[in-house]
Amino acid sequence: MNACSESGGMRARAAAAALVLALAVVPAFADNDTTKQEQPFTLDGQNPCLVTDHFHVEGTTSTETRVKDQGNAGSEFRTRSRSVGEGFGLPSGARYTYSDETLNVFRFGPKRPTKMENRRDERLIAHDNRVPSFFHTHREKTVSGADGSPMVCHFREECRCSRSDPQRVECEPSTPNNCQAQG
Amino acid sequence: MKNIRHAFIAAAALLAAAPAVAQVMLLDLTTSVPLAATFDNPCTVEPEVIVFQGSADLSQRVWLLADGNLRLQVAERTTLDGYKTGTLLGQVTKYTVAADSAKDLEFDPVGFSILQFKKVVREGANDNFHAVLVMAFDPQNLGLQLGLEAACDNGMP
Repeated sequence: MNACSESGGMRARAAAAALVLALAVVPAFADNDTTKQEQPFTLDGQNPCLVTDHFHVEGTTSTETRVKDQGNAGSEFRTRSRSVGEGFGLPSGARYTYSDETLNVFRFGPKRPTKMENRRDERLIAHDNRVPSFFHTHREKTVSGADGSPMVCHFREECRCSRSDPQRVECEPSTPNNCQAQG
Repeated sequence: MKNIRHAFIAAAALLAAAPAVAQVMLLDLTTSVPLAATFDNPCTVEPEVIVFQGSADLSQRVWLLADGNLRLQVAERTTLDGYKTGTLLGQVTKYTVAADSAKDLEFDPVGFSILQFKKVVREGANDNFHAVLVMAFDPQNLGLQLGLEAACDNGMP
């Protein structure tokens, strides 16, 4: 099982939202101290703002990671990830798109954390006036790959109608998955 | 300035909407941190003395999660004004920095720093000069120590 594979999606506590994630992984390759990954993803679920509409979106997340080792002083991790996806809704026929870019720069001392996860609200846009757009949470988790190099795993979960809606549907806080450090 | 405040408040409100399932809040802090630094623009050859002053409006929450990990939510808005001394005929060259960011991180309880690269704007120039806000997290006191660095890059890998 690849370190970035994901066996299942996240269960929402309410039935209003369900987002199932399936990931496949293209093997990483190294370019000097830069690692690049491409991960195709599929998002399937129910639009939490229009529960009669089911969406299916496919896309790719490209991740570029550079580690500057500074000896005893520690290391600096730079990660840039870009995601694009496109799909449709049923029965609305609406076109859904997803596009996002993130940049994270962390500096660690001699002791690195074994886990560093970054969460971010991202928008799935419905290109149809009759169909509302909504948010989901993109979780970007950095682990050590089999060769010791950092590997960034991407998970998407938690559908909700808006960022600020206090009555939003929340998912359970954490789902065990196979994105674990190896070695 | 009012818009900046509004943007910062909006970011803080975003973070305040965090799920509270199986986590205990350890720290909830909103503050304004004064910042000051003197840099030589690393993108130029000639030595320069550029004095920056300003502040970072910071909203921070730290949570203890059920598995012993920590969750740090931080939103910040940094504004800096800079000027270059030592120019001929008493001319003053002005620089400005204004940028915000938000992070929501979960990690083992070890110390680390978050680096946020912020474009330094100078009228008539367009180089890659960035001020870097370094937010050092201390797992002992859960605080963030803020500092500034200069860089001739935008933080991309």
